[in-house]
This record gives sequence, structure tokens and C-alpha cells, in this order.
Amino acid sequence: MLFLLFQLGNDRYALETSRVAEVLPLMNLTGWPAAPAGVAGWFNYRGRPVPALDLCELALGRPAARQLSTRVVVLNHPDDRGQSYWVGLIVERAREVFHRDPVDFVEAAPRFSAAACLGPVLMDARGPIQWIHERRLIAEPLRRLPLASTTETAYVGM
Amino acid sequence: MWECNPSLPRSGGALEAAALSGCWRVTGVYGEGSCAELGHYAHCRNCPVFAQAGLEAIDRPASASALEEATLRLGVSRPAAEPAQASAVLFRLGFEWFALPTGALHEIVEGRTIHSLPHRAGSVVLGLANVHGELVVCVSLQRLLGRSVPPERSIGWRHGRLILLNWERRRLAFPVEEVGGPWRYGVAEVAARPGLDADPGGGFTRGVLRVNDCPAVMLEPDLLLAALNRMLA
Repeated sequence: MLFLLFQLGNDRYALETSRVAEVLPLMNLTGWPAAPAGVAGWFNYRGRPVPALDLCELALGRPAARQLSTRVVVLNHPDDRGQSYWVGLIVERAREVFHRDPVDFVEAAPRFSAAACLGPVLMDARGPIQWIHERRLIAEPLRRLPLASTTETAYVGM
Repeated sequence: MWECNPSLPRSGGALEAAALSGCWRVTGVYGEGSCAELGHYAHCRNCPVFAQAGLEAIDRPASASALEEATLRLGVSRPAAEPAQASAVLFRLGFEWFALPTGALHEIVEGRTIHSLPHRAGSVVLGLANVHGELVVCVSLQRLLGRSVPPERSIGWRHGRLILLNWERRRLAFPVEEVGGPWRYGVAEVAARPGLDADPGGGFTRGVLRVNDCPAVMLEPDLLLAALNRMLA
């Protein structure tokens, strides 16, 4: 299984890549007035407006650093009603991908209800890598995104 | 990647520290070349420290122009995928144009004398020709395709070109009157092969290619060579 490795602050996370359409460089985002927390704005993705969610903002409460290694991961995100949308996730230090068998990840002992988006952990020599279930993390802010529910057809990805 | 380098210090950010030191300019191949790891990696670019330095290099602030450039580039719609293309060589026999996939051809040489063989008059085999000092069997594609051949051109044909095909690690040649050069075409543009009774390629047709509104019969080289094989055996 192919994973994308990235960081939020100092901690390393892995995202399973089967839903990843493309990893883009950071670009200028168009602001979204009164957007829920974590929604950094939207961008023109090859002629389509796509919302961008800042995972740093969602997880750490601070926006992602404006660095060359901060990237936008475009995902195909299915919502509860079976529609699917393109969603951009802003993550820090997205620099590597790696192949790993999912069974190499072990269950982390403490499970907090607030951290339901975190899956098992890969114990690497340079520190743990946490499997992140990005769908759970972004489902809530996306649900509260006014445009996502009213003009659905504009976002239908595939 | 970092997981496949057992010989390197990996804990406590030692790799990052080594990468930041720029050791390739000091003890590596860009410096005095004394690094002990060079015996294993041969060049700094194979070393994980160098790879790590490459990763660290993009951990720097994104300039406003870089953001602007990415914004503009991603705003452009992706062009539709180019249809699949292939290449064929066109050649003329009489008044008809034919085509063979370029990959089936070995070489095209000047027309030259074809020396006839005894007891082969009127058969598909025309004789032997000297190509780069090697004797190559020449066949008549016209006879194979069931075309009548004007008697003055039937043997010793010095005009036109000789097309050489790869034939079981040997060469097989056939003379043509004119070569139209390689032609790029869309794979989807090849019209379906006509019915067998009306097949202009004598049963060897892959399809019909339109070249500047002029039809060219695309031949299937495998069928052609298989038939020639049977006749020459």
C-alpha cells in the first residue's frame, strides 16, 4: 500500500493514497468569508473551484507554514449522500511517499474520542508515523461549508 | 528512501544534521573524496545523506512569485489526452499505395539488380540481391498479393527502392516503385479491414489508412511473413 508522508508540526503522518488525485504545490487561495475553521479558501483546480482545508489549522490550531514543502493534496472525497467532491488538503512537509504493508501499523494504546481520525501507528526508527483517516478529519468542516451543500453540481468530481 | 539505509545513523535527527553540514562538499565527491561511505555508495548522489539534504532544501519559505506561478499553472484546464499514434512506411506498387508498420522494417535501400534463380521463374521469389555485401532473398509483393506484374518490370528491377524486412534473424527484401516515407497516424483512424472477398491486400490487410485523402492498404507484417515463409520453405 502506498502512503504519502507529511508532517503537522513536528509529528509525522501517513495518508493512504488511493483517493489522492494529485499533490500540488502551495498556491494562492481565494478567501472564503465566514468559512468554518480549517477552511483556508478555495482555488482554481484546472477550471474547477475546489475548497482547500488546512490540516494544520484543524489539528494544531495554526495555519500551515508557507514553505515550498507545504503542499496541497487533492483528494476525491465522497460525502454521506454518495456525491464525491475534489477537496484540497494543505499539509506540511509532504516530501515523500513510501510503500508499506498495512499490517506493519500497530494499534496505538490510548484512543481519545477527539482523535478518531487517527488510525494505527507505524513504529519507525525515526519516530512513529500515524496513519491519518483524513475523511473523518475533514468531514465535519466540509459539512458546514455552505457552498458544498447548495451547489453540489459545481463540485462533482468524477 | 530512509527505510532502506541500514548503515546510516537514523535516530535523533543525525541524518538531518549530516545533511545540513553539506558533507558532500567537504569529504564527498565535491570535496576531497575521503568519506568512508563512498566505498559503498560510489557517488554522493546515491547516499541517503545527500537525498535527505535534497528533502531539507525544499523546507524553505515559498516566495510570492512561486505561489503566483503555481496558481496560474493550476488554473489552466488540462489539455485532452493526445490520441494514440503509430508510424507506418508508405510504398507504391503499380498504382496502389500500401503501408507497413515502421517497426517491421529493417532498412530501405536503393533499387538494384535482382539476380534471378533457376527454376523460380514466375514464382513469388524474384531472386537474390546484394545488400551491403550480403545476398538477400527478394520476393514480389505484387505476386503475393495477386497483382499482375508488367513483364518489363518483373525481373532485374533497377528503379525504385528495395524494402528489407526482418525475417527470422535474416533479411527478406521486396522491390517497390516508390517510398512515401514514414507516416504518423492515429491508431483509431485506421478504417476496419474490408470483407475478405474484397480485400485489396490479398488477405494480409490490417486496415485502410487515409493519407491525404488517398487510401493506403495497411498490411499485417506477421501474416505476410508467415505466408512468405511457407512459400520459401
